Amino acid sequence: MSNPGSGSIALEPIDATRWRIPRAGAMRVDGIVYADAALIEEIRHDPCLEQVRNVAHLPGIVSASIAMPDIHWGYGFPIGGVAAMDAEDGVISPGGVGYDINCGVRLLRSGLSRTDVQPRLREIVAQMYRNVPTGVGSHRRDLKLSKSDLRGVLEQGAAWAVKKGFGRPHELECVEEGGCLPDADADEVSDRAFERGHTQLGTLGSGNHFAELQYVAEVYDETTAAAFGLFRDQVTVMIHSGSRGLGHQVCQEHLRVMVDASRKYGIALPDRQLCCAPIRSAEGRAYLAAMSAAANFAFANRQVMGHWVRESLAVALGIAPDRTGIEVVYDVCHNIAKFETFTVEGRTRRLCVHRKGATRAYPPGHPQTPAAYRDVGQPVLIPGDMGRYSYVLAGTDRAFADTFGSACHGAGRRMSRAAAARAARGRSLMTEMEERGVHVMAAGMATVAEEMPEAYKDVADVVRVVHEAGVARRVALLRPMGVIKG
Amino acid sequence: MAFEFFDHTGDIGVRVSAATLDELFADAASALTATLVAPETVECRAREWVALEAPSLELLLVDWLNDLVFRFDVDELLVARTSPKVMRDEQVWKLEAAIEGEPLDAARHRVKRLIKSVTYHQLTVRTTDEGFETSVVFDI
Repeated sequence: MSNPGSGSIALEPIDATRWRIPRAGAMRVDGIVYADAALIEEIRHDPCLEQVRNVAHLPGIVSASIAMPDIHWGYGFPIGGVAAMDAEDGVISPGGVGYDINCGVRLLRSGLSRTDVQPRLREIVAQMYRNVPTGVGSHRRDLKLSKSDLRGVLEQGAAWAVKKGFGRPHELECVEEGGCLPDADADEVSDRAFERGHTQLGTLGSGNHFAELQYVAEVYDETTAAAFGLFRDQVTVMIHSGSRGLGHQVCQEHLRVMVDASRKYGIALPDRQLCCAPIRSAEGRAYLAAMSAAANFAFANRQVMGHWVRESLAVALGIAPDRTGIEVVYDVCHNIAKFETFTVEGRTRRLCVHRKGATRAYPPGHPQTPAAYRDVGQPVLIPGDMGRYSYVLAGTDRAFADTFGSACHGAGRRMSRAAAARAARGRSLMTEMEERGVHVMAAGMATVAEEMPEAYKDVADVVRVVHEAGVARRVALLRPMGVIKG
Repeated sequence: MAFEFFDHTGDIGVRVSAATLDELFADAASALTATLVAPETVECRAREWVALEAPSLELLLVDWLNDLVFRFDVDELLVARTSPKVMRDEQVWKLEAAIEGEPLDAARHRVKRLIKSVTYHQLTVRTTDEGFETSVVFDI
């Protein structure tokens, strides 16, 4: 790949799972990288370390520019990064969130076991593929949004979907922020973003997005798994998707504004893609309002798709939806910026936490950890590639103290799309996946090739680091049975 | 070829070179189409007009390509050919273009991947001995 390395970045070991990029020059804080000795050797050769260092230059950044073990090169901000900014003096940056605002993961559990569904696996996946639109132009005729409907989605998030009959009210308790960011303002979302969004609610997208039928293959923490409603051999479904074209349009438009805003407010940037504005500026407030609206679209998007997944299993198994026992375990964002409160050096501070390819991992006892999980911590959902496994973790006090309540988000690629396409030539990937016991239905074969399992790193390596660092505790391992992709 | 793709982590990069700015912008549009579908499958069945302006050539290029991403996302418009005119008007760069193409036809067009956005990553428009060159990364 054409990425220059970060060989010149000074790295000091802190302990077995953390490294420091010492504050130097115009950096306002240190960089802290979560990685073990094996991962740091890969990370050293990726320009992401330079990006971690660059983020440390931003005004109002608090404590450290943090990198999770799945850190890799992004646009300005690295992917797998966490940066918390003082709510009064700090900046907000679209690059610290990403183009796919509130790309995130929803995990559904069921009352079904692997043996219940294995005989009907192909039918289940076919129903999911029929009912959850994937790929370009695909949307359901029975979900048409007027402009007024879309405004409702942007301002109410997942609650709008529940009101319209997509799921049940109690599911919102198990969605980050209750499925709605309060700073959303649909007036800050452009007409162009509306045009892109109005046909895309309830659509999966493409690329690395998926809906995956899984089973609980291993349980590492019986007490926490039980609190999450998980048990061995249980069937689960994981949905990975975001705010679709609406979110991409919001990011794109506000990046443009922020390029000028950075100059206007005299913010010196080591990289133009870190463009930002003070949170309290007009530009900062406008982005926050639009980004929150796009985030709400993504929450509603996953709520609608979750409802259709439940219906799909019911139809394929010939049972009523209630009898599937499908419930939401949790729904997390991994591209977001929002206000959260932490104690920093003994002082309570309201911070704007940017997580770009990072997941909130709140501890036991926190008021935002759902009541059902208050004793064990917030579920943290970490998808792997479509051939191996994904993880369920639980948030910890250590994360709250050290990483602004954050953990990793996934595995990261080890092969470029072109390299994966070359590696796929002459192979029947669908057959290979079937031989692994995974039934795949996809709108595009190019996507399947580019998303093949060997294109990704092993998520177990990433999860091991956050577990050993105490930032999130391993609870369960989920293996794929069937996948739909765009 | 007027453009060539390069690997970029999880996304797609393209290098474009041309004798004139007009051709550079046209070839960049062709590269965007080639990212989405096999370009030879797209026919000129409809024409639309685009008019844009931006404070710099790089921003104009991103706006141009993002406009095509928008049209594909909303109208499923695939672009076969463009004829952009790029000009400087005092402090502002302007583009006017006819774009010719057709809506996506699932029977003839196999979509390889979707583009989320055009990024500003390492984006410059450089003058060369032969004319101009640029590299652009598409977020997939």
